[in-house]
Amino acid sequence: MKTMGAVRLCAVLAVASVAGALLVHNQGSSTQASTPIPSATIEPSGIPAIAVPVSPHPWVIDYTWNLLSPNSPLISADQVKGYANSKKPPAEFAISRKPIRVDSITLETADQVKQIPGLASFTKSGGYPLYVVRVTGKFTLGGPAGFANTAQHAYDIIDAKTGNLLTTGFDP
Amino acid sequence: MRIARVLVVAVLGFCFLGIIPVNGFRLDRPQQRLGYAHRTRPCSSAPCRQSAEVALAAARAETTFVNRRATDAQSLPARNVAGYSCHDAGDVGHCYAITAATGASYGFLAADVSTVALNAQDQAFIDDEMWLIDAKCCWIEAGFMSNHTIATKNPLYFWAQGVGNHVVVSYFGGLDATQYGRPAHIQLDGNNGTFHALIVPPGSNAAFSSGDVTIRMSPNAVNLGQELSGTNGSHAPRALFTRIRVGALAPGRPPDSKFKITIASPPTGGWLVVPGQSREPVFYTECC
Repeated sequence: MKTMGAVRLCAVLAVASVAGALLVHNQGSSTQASTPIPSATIEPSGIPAIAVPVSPHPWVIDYTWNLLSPNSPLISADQVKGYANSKKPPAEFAISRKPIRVDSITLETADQVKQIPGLASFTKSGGYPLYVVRVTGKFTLGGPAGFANTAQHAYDIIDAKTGNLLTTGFDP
Repeated sequence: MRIARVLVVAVLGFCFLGIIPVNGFRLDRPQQRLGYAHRTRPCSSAPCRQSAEVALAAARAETTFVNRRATDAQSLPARNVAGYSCHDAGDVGHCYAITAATGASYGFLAADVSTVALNAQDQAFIDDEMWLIDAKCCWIEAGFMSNHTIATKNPLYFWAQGVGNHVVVSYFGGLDATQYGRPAHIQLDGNNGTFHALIVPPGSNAAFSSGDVTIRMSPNAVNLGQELSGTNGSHAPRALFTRIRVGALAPGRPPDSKFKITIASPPTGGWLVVPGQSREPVFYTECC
């Protein structure tokens, strides 16, 4: 009798466990299924160009601090003493170690930036302020194999409110 | 008594079904996906929303590969390849470890790519990414990179487009180091001149999106793998490309034997599980 009792107990426990597991599983599935898939997407926020203004981090772009300092006027290109990693070219695409030349630094609206080739879908819009830094150098372009090419002009687009570097572009 | 034992064993087995070792990978139960601390905004068009929903649904799939090797690899020393020519004054171009397919019309490419601690040196970059390509003119790409020149603490998610000699690279934000080894879902899709690049970071319930990107192209090739620029010092732990899907439209299908591997070292890569088997193909890259 004890053996039969034990068998019954085990059977009941097993059935209850299976039922419980199925219940938990179904609840999990139902929770997942009922969770709405957000239709929102993330707006590209860019990398922080100046996380800490006084930081000695080597990636601080020298001019950016000046651009964003509330008491500092927009500096001109010839005032730029260093660029992206301090006095070295933005050589992630560079094929020569010759210094690049900063041609211009302008404060533009997002709608103006959208006129640049390839930036029609730029995520900022309207009058949102952006700094556009145009440089000249010799750059080799990233891309799929077989597309390696060079460019002489490049630009960085920096969020004028946050200092975030949003986009880098290259033109022939 | 025997029946009871069988039932108990079955119950215990059922409870442990979520953990199945497979070739060094592990199939994990879905993790609770945390909100992502970036501002969000709705896509402005129906195709953009649909594209994001496909990416988010894929990222929320029942199981995800966890790249145990990525975590292990981070503790391994770099191979210290003594110099390489992955760009120089001779316009050599960059180096790659990719698998590619051509000869069809493509409008969809997606994969889970395990996030790893890429480390670029020498004013250069190294990345893991995917491309949707019209060999005549254009491409769109997305992935994550370490860029020495804009050396942030962690690698960056990015997407880029190329039209002729016009190339535009946009940055989505940094990888979360606490999620290394877990996959980001990366997706490229589009047709009729409108394309999208999307990335769902591990642990996120939202996607980075390029929005609608206008490129007048008809993709006839897809690539996925690693790109390296520079001449020395960069390092990339092993990254795994899993749940690869490719086709003219979502949801695509797994890669087939038409996918060929191209290696221009020092990046290296290959199939850990080759296409055409009953299991999901797995491609890997690592470098230097």
